[in-house]
Amino acid sequence: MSSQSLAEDRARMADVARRALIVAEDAHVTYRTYASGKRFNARDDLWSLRALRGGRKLQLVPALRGVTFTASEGETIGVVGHNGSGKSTLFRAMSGLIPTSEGRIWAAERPVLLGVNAALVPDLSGENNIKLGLLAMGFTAEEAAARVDEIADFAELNEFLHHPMRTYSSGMGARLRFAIASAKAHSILLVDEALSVGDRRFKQKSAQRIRELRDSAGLVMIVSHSASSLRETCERVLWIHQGELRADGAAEEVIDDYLKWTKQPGRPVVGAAAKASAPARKQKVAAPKASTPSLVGGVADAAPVEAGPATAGGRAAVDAGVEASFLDELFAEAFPAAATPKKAVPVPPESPRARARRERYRRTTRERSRRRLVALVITGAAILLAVGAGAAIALVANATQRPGTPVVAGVQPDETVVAPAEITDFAADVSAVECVSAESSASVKLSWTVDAALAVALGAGTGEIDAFESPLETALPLVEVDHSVPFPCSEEATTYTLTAEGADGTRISETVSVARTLVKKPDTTPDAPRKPGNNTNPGVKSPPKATKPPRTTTPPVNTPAPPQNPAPPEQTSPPQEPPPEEPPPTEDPQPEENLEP
Amino acid sequence: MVDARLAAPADGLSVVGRRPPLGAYLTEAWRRRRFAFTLAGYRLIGTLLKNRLGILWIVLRPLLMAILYGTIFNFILSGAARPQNFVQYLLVGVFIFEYFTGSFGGGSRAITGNAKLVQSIGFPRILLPVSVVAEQAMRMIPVILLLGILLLALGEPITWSWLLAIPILAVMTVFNLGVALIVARLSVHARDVQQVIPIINRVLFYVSGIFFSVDGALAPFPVLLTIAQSIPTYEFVALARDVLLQSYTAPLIAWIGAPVWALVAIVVGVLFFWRAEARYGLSE
Repeated sequence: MSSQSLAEDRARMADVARRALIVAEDAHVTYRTYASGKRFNARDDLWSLRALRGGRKLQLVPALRGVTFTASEGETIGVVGHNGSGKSTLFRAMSGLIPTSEGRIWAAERPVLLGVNAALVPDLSGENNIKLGLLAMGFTAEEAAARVDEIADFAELNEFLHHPMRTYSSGMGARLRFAIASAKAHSILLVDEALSVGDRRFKQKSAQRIRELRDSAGLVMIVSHSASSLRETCERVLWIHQGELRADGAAEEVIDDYLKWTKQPGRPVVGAAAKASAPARKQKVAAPKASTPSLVGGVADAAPVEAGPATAGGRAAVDAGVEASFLDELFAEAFPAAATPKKAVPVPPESPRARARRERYRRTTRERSRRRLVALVITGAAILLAVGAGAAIALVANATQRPGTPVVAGVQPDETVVAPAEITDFAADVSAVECVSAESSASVKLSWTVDAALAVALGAGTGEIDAFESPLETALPLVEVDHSVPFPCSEEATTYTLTAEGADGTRISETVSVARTLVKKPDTTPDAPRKPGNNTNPGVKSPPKATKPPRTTTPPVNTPAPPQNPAPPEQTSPPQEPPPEEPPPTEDPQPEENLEP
Repeated sequence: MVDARLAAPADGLSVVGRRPPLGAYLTEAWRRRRFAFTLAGYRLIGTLLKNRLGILWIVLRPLLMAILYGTIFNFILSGAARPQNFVQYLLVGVFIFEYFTGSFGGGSRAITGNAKLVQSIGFPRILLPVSVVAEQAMRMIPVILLLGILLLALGEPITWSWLLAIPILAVMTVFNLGVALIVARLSVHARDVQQVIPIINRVLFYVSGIFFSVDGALAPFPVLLTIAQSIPTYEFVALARDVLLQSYTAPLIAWIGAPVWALVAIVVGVLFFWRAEARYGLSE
């Protein structure tokens, strides 16, 4: 019987000359998720790594464990299996959306997946989602725009087309996604449970659409839980069980076996429990050797293209054999007839696949411990690096401070005066300034004579201050006549402080007070500072820049020291550089003392 | 047996789930660029329509930030750290920095936030970070217009140099895209990256001198000043201030550093992102 089926396969291959469109080679997919492997109880060490991760640890979940098959041009292949068996993962891996962790999948063209999971952007309307989906699939903007109506009609969304997709019912969303995904003719089409969504009307429509696509496409693979629709549309069916290919054959037989199996109670079905499936794999490898090369393990066959569906007779016997040998320990009574043929097949002590799996497990363990070591080293290095960087910054900060001080120290020997500074004269040209209003500003001319000082600064305030602490101007000459400074009209009186710093680091201050007299001018309104052109009062200067910032954020009151100095146009005062240029470092005294002995 | 088959694939087949060569990848991405821009536009509208004030929030957010910082630091700042024309200085800083913040944070969610889209449709994934940056660039248009109006209202004279803001923002877009690509991949590997990003944003906000003058505050420390001036966000903000404000001049290092940073970021970003192209579907 086996030789007969083999011969038929060969013959079929010869005259149809089918081209392989997808070849899956021992494809594995492993998901990495953070999940607690067991309940996290109070006795666990609170400081363990597991606790730090919130009781979860990285788990490797094998979703596909070595699936091998070949699909050829002109086929329609159904895929069955219980929920969580890996069907959707297989499809995603085939369409290249997720990578295989081991093994490879070859395809003639990138397969396109039509799935109910094809979520787009939930906040957007159905119409926008159609456009986006089409653009993502590679349509040009014009093509996409032209097809929107057609797709919308197919999905039958009517007025909901303009509602956000998050308001759709699950059936409506699925219809829209199917409509979008099936808009393009592909040579390899993977349909993920699309047939089972929507109402009866839509089901028929989508079945019709799939048939059309199949006629144009080379290959269609369909995941479905509906046995009847698979029987109608497919001639070949793959049965995925716990991440492995459990059967591959003519639709009728595989579906029948699958239905029989689903009726068995008490089997753990979800999850790839290694123990439960180990015997299955051994049997599967063993079975083809005994019967026919056209079965699941048929990759061993040297032919690059696996045969299409085998003849019904041969396939049925083989399937029954695999089925029975897998189930016979548990369900021998249930299927006495099926169980008999292969009952005697001995379980090999260790199949190559089991060995490979153990090897894989060891490799993973080694890899994991290696990674842990690397992570440890990197963490240590990062900490050291951070400490080093901190030290470097501290050093740099110290280094940059030191060069600043010798500059002052370097000046000192030239002067050879180690005496306190002395202010011999400090006066203003007027004792009272005329102001138009409290918002305007004026200027005052100051004159002074200072002896034996290294630096002279000028400050303004309501009383005596240290002009170096809040300078109006710094780096002033020792002797100055009629130096113009701004006078803020907002204060009743302003006290100007002249502070001189001697070579020994001591500071001496002298003050002069100037009072304000308000003069009412009929032509100047309170917004005078905004119109400097109208302002004819020579005593009042209102440079536009100085008044701009306070206008929006803060009232101009309470600004004791305006950041910039409005320069009187008629006088060339020393350049008013921003203060950072040469503020004598405040920690002057220390280096000075060092130099003295 | 498997190895033999792997070595000799069947006629005309290629492996799926492998990243394509860089050239083909970028060509394909360029061909589908409309997807990125359409997605950016739709998402921008989608997020804004949920709010009552809608599109107004694009300008309200940075404006409120500027008012907040302006009020607080106007009282606190004094001396060398206080820049000339504080309000204009602050406005340019906050508005330009907002562009970086948006791209940086959005980039980190470009892949992880669109996991379903990534798992259902095959397209060059680089389009997702591109669409994030494109969305931020669209947000910048009203922001920049508002900035211009505010500067005019504050008495800043309009000059030809304002036009230079456009190439500067274009270079900044390139830089933002590079950074978005890098964080997009990093947050796929470790979601923790998304926790760190607000902190990095905050640090950059302070060291880039958005509300105070870095040049003034660090003037006594030339080494630290040079380091601070090499920070990319500082450089872009400084350049924008230079062309928009009369009272500010950017240091030479900013004119050199900004395009260099942009080039480095985009090259590293594209390569780094492309290398993991096949693995983005695994993020769940």
